[in-house]
Amino acid sequence: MKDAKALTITYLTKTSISSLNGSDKEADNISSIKKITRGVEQFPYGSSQWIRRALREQLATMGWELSEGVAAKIEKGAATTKQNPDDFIDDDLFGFMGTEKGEEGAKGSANKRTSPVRVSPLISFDRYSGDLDFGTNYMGVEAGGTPNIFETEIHSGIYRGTILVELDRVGCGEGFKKDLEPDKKAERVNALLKAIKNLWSTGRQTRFLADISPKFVAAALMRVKNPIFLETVIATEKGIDFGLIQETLKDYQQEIIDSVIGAKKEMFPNIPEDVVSIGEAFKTMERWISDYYKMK
Amino acid sequence: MYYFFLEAYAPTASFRLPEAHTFQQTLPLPPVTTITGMMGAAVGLSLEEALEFAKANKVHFGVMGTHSGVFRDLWKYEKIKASETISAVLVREFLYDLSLILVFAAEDEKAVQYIREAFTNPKYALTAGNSDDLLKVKYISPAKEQEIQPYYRFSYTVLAGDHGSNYESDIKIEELPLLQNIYMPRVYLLPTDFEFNGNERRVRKRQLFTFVDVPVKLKKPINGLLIGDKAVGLL
Repeated sequence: MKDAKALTITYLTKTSISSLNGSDKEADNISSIKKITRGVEQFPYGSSQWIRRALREQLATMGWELSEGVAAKIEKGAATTKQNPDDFIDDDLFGFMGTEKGEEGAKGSANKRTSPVRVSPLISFDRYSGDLDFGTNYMGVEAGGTPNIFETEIHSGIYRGTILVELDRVGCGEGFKKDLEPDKKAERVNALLKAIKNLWSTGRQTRFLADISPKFVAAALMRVKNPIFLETVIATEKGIDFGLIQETLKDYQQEIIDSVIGAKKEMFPNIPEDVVSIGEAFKTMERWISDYYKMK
Repeated sequence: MYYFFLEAYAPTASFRLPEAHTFQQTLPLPPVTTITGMMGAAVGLSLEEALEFAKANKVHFGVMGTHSGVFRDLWKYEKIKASETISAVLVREFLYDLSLILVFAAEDEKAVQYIREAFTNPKYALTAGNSDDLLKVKYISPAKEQEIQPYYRFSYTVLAGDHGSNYESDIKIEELPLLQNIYMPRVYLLPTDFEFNGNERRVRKRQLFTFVDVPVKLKKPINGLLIGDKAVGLL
């Protein structure tokens, strides 16, 4: 436990009808979703920055104060955060980049913290079939206008994503005035786990309420920083490929300290008996985190 | 020459062409500075230190890889214009489903062993371009010795220099999948060294590189190593 370096979580989620992550307009009056083209088919995805936004929102919902909305101190700079990881969980977990203007002609400087939390996009296994939701906007009718029609790309399917947390870099290092106490570090990582367990994005949820919380997780506490389940959790019509997951666990047994597989069992057809519930899987991960930081 | 290679996989990757801003096109494979940065992440060095390490130990790199597709990701961000915060967008190009082989080579066996050790237990999580493009290391070969030799045939790799007029196509069209995109070798002028001044960095040196896609046969060979049955040029 003491020599742990990272926690890797690969998860699956299932949407019945969703329009998860908006993309650039491809045609007038059609709201597009982000898609990857592979051969002649397209696969919807939610980008990493979209997941990060969802995690931040969830942390705020859970009562954590976020460090956001600070204008850059140089002209044309991107807006940034307060860049204070000592006090703000999101500056600690998600990193930041800010620039300072130099005084009286002197060169400026940059503050940065490389995010110890790495987030892959959430990519669908199921192709986009061209489904559109048709809508009519009557808002302007009373003012003498005509109803406006619009369409929204929608999709249904199983999505896969991965999150890797560099445990040895949480609560210390770049940007910190003083390292956090171990129990504070554990508290922050466990808050992140809760946010992942209850993952929910705000985009287009008023019309397409979609639940993107994990319905299947493969997680491991690792001696090295390697997202071992990245491409080895595969969902097909027949269910999840457990052979591949077992092979991965065997391949990396020297690097794995502990692992857990959890699922909402009724959502997949072939879940083995020894797979625990999603709640139990996250409880196990929380125990790893508490034990790890206790030993530090 | 001593060397080792590693096999890795990334669901998404983006190797931005330097100096591209609102449309950030990706290169098909990581350039030398990105591979140097990956080595730095493994060892625990900043880019400046990693470049110095590579120079001091005369480390050479090699790269091969394929991907399943390219997509464009829309980013929304807030920027400052005339003291006002306004919303802006940029488009970044990504590779999808990248399988990568990276080669690290040097005359000094200790330097090669040191880099290899670092990749078995990297200081920072390894990524393929962006900090969120998670990279999984699937295999790390033992460090071995191999004599550098001239090779003619290359595919899905990067060669040092401009080989725009030094190749003929080596494609067996009947063996290519029907829906595969085919690119002739593309030549880019890319940074290979930077001047650092605190947190500021400026390009100090640029070199031409040829990104080879489908198989080519060079008219004049270049030196490289054989990894499995594929030749890789050293950068």
